[in-house]
Amino acid sequence: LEMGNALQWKQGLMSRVGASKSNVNLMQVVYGHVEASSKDKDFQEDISDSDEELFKPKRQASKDTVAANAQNIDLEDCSRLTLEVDDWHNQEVIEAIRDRFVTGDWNKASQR
Amino acid sequence: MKGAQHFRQRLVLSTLSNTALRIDDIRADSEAPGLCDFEASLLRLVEKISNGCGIEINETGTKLRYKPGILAGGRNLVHDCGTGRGIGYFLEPLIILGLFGKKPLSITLRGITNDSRDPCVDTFRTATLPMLKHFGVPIEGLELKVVARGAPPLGGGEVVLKVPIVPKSLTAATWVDEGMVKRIRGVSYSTRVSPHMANRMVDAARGVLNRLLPDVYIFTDHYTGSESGKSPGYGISLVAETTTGCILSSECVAMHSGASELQLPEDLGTQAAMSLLQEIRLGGVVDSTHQGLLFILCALCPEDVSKVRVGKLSSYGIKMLQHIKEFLGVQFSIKPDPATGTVLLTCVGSGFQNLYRKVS
Repeated sequence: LEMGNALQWKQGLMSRVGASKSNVNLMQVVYGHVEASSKDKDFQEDISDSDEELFKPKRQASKDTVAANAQNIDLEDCSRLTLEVDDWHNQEVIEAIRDRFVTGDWNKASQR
Repeated sequence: MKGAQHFRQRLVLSTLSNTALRIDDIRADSEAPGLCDFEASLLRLVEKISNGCGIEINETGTKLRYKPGILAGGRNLVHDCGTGRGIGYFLEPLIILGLFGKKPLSITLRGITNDSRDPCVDTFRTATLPMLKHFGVPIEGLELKVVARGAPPLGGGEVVLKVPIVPKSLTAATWVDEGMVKRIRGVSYSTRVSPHMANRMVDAARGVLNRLLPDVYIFTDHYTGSESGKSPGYGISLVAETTTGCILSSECVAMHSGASELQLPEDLGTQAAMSLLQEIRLGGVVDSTHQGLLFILCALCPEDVSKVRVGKLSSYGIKMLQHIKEFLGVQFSIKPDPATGTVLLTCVGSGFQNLYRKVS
């Protein structure tokens, strides 16, 4: 296992050489460390987002399966995820996506 | 490979890449160890549409060996999906396998048409199928017909899926412009309950969406008699269509909340509308549910560059990218686009061709 980790480390380093920093992060999240067993702090921060999503579908499942959450090799096979929904009753939040609609400002949208 | 996670991705990629698959420790520590009914059912379905595949399962069902056969396709097939998972669970792998068969596929699937875990048949019809045309899939012959609704827990629904075969290979796509939302459509269905439920969901959803766009039309679809399945239920599926032909979807299905009462239709309508706005906010040419399908389609293209844009990467999408690398040897270049908070993915297709199709 340790050997595997070492190799993954090297891969991460190699990709770091060629690419810009923001680029590395996502590539690492996806390909660099396949198993979340790394103790690399940066990496842990990077994947925290996707981790939350990983566990989300299971919360809807019955309480018996909570224990099964610990090891995720039997994670439920599910393509739908429950999105963290903003407060869409709030006018400000709605204004934030107004230009994504044809009824919004086309000039602003094209600058996007 | 270990565990039951992402079973369908592994099965599909194993079949397409013609690599034997071995999975150990399937729910080995669980109270109900081994493959679930729905997974066994999916294996039977794969067996049905292929010739000469080998499936070995050990006594407890915790170990699986799978040797892919030839994808045959075929007409007038029938499969009972059971009630463990929705029909959407079966449709997702089936549509990809169907494209690369020897003959076009037409199959009747029975079970739960709408549930809270899997994409419902309405979303599949209105969002998933149109996605394929971006990759050169002939749109004629691509069809999903809902014959009868089946709500959980007892199901009793029926759909007919028709998938054409890809003539030679898919075509690579550059699909990065998500455009602007020009209209919102949807289906609000009810079965074995008052037809008024569907209208209440529509009103609630419109209440949220009309503040941004007047062009919102949601069909109401009420089922009675033999077409209404075995359980009462209702739900709503919404799609936002953009000026560049992208379709984002969201859906909500009534679940029994606590004391066997179904959720209020108003809550469902609002919830579905809000998830749709959330998907629009995240950006990308497909919604979070369809990322996995998008990536596999890119990877199955000829050796040509595909470029796509998605919102935040979903865990399912990430796993799909890993599996694609493992089985097809295709690695994506993944770049965040900080200006929009989206992610751009570029890949060179694996040069996959439909080898099984009949040469005439």
